[in-house]
Amino acid sequence: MFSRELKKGSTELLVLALIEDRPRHGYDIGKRIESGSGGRLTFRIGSLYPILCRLEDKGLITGRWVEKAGDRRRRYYKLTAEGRRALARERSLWNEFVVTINRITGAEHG
Amino acid sequence: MADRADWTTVVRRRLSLTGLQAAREAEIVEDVARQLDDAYREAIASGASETDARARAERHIADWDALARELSATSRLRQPAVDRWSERRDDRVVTREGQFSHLARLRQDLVHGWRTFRRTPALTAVAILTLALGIGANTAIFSVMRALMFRSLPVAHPETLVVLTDPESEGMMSGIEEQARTLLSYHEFEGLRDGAGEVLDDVFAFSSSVQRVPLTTDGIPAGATGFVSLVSGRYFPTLGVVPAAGRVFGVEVDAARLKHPVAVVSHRFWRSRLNEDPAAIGRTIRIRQTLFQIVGVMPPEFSGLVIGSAPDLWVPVTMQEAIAPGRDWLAQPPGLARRTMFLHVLGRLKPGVSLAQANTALDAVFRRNLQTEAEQIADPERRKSVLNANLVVRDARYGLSSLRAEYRQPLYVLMGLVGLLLVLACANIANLLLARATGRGRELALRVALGAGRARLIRQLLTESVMLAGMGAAAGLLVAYWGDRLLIRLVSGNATSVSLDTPIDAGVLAFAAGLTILTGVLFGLAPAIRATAVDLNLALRGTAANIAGATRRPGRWPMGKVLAGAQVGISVLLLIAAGLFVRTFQHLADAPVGYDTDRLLMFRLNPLIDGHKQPSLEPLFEQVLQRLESLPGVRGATLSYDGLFYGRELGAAVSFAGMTPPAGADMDTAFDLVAPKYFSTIGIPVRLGRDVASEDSTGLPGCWLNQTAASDFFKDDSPLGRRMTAHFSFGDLTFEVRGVVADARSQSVRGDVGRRVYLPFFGSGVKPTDAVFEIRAAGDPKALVPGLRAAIQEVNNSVTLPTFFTVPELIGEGLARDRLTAQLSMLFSALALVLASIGLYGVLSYNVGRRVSEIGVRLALGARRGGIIGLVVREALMVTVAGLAVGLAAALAATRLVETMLFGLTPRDPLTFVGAAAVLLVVAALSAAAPAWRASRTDPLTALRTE
Repeated sequence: MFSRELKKGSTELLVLALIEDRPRHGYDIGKRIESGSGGRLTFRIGSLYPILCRLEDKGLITGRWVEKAGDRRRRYYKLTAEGRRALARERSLWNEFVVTINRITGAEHG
Repeated sequence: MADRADWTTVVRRRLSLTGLQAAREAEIVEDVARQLDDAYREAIASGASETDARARAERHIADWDALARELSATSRLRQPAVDRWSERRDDRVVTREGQFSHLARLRQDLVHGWRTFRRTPALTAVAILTLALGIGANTAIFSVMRALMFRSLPVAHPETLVVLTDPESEGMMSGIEEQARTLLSYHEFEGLRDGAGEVLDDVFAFSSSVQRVPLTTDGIPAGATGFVSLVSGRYFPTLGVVPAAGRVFGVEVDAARLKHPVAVVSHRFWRSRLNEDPAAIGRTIRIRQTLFQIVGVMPPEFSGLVIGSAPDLWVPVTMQEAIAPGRDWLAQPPGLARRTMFLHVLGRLKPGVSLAQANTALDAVFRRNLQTEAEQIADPERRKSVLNANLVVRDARYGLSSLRAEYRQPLYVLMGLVGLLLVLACANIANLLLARATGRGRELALRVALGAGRARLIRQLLTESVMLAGMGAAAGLLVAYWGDRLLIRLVSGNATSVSLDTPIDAGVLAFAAGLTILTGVLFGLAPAIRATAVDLNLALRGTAANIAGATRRPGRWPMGKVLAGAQVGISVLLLIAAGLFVRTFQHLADAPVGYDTDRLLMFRLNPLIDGHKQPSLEPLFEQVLQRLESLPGVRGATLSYDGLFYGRELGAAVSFAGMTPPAGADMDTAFDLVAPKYFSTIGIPVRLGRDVASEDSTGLPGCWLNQTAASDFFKDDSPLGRRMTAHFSFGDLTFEVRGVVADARSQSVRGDVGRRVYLPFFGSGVKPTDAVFEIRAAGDPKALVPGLRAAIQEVNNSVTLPTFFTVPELIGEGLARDRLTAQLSMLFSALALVLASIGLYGVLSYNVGRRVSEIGVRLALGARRGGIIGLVVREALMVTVAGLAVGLAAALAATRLVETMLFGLTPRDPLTFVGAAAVLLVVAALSAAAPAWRASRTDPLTALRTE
């Protein structure tokens, strides 16, 4: 059931991959998708935000408000255990996006 | 730098989230605002102006409404979508023990349904009444059909029973019957009984019609009559029916005539006439002049082998002369070609013998017997006629019946009509439920909010519908019970009596149950689907207009109007059917018979049963005739043998002196024996020659041809003076043609009149033993009855007094089938009209109610009240015309199926079609009247205030 859902939106997969290492906030995720895909996937808050909500709805990620010193709080998203399992499962199935995913995850330095 | 709080305000303003908890909404607003803020600051950081940076940030949200919709739909804290059809875990009902149970869920649905019905008692009552009529009528006709056509006889192994005569035949024929034999004589039966051993195990016979006889015994009022069936010895043993009391008689009664006065009575006779006397066995009962001893009582489910006929008593056929004195139906003098054929003969197939094998074998035995018999017949012509006969053997497991053929088509037609009526009722109730469903919007919305899946809700609503249908069906069984009684009564007449057992048994109940479920789903499905397509937010917000609007916007097919239109269509179809059948019946009843049936009274005298014998009969008839003629109020009196519509006809072949008919020509003619002044009394015009006179009784008797006979035999030549020979089964008689009369009907109003030759009653050589008297009255014929009775008794007070009939009465008896079809189709179409008009009224009212504010606006803007009325009436007409179009088209196609049942009009009779459409238009206008009036009376101020 999850696979079908995820296949519908490869963006969802990207999001999961992007927060695999550590939690990120919405705007950050969006910027990384855009840069990591070489501009092929443009980032709009209006398009990405519903995806984040959906993933949260399905229980693959959770959101948490974090306040950094001197700044207004932001909502950070991280993978749940369920999310990790889903990501691992789907990785092996998306051949055409392997390059893109590897490029993004490979370029991850923190 | 711009104030970052700006973004929160912007988002809150432009993102209209609905249906979310406040906390969640705030969260979303903050998150989105924060990201917009990030984008804005990034733009500023990369050197854009404040305006540019703002614009760049705002470009991140292309469509605020779309975003709002998506977020409202996906947020986890929102209520689940109504569109999901699959069943959720929470839908399953769990019993106290914690087990999931279908039964518990069903019980929950039923209880909920019951509560819903109690809240709307009026609607529920109307629905139940409608369903009771619809399901009840269908069940009634089904059970009659089943009893008449599809029920096995309540005897041992009915599937092995076969009949050698024609199962649809009844009555008695005297003479010679050629080709396939419809009935057999006693002598022929005996020959088959003794010779059929190869293919049949047992052979028995019984009289094909029951005899009405006077009965006397203790406890029965004087003057009572009963129906007697004459049966051979093997009848009861072969059928294997176990008597409820006592015993049956067997082969011993075949040995000798008039030696075994025993009788077996029917259960109904024992119950109603003998008052369930436990000592009935051994009682004597007097039939005419003979005392019979009751030896047994049949069980309640057995009423003979003829469906529709229920004898009161069974007596041995060897007692025939006690039942019909003065006549011998059993003897067959050797060398006599004529025979008395009145028996049905049946047998049981031997194991392993097929119907075809039995047919061949029995036919061979029969012909062989006839051959032996025919050797003694002198006249070669008659010998040939006698030998020209054969048997056809048929399956008899469903019994014999003359009703079956006659009523098969009408019953199927009525079944179709009443089925359509039920569909109409379903459309009607569906509309009722649709309206109610909209009113239940809030209740359903709450249930959806509590987590019910749509499928679950629909299942619940359907359970309610089927429950409603079930309650209607329970009441419907009562309707079916009384409906059956009514049907049988309508079919029976004064002269004929139909007795059909139509119990509400397992098969009928199964039919009713299946119909109930089908009905429930049919009228419940559409409203259920509609009702559950609720937009929660609007429904929960609560104004009437909103709730109504909250049901999904009607598609191109507004369901209420479609259902009302369907009802109109079905109504016009039923109305056309009724119109065709009613007019057919009228045409039949008023069909010209060739003479004036007004003020004509008839009765039959059968002095033989009172012990009179030839040669005293003719003088007796003449005396009665003379006496009657002299009575005041009697304009004319005459008599005949066949009578008018008494169901009897003499027949024989004729030949004319000096004329050789072409080879193979059919020279069979119907005959009647008539007294002097017959034609003038009846009113049949004499075209050539003269009326019958008393001198025709002496010397060479005269004969009269009807127009058809004259044209058939003589074309345009005059037959007057010609010599005619009638070849009766008992001998040839010669006559001289003395007149030609106009064609007159005396057998049936349908079909051609046929050839008929009239012979003098007195002195023709035929020597009839009974006569039908015809009296032309000056005034009301029935008023003469007491005077006639007195006159008859004066002449001879030992004669049994007869029953008096008018011609229209007897014609009417023969039209029972057509009358039934006309009456029932009229009833169904009337019901349909009532339902359709209610349905139309309902839809129009409802629509007016919904558009109250619109109407108010129109009125406020200056629309005339008449214009509003026009609005509503136009809506009504549109629905009606659409329904009419479909209904008329269907009628044009369908009425062809009943062409054979019609008389005097074609299946596409324009008058009927136009008339039906006109009636429906009027009904529609009337139905629209009240809603239109109410609409025009809308107070614009009040209407707008509720907007």
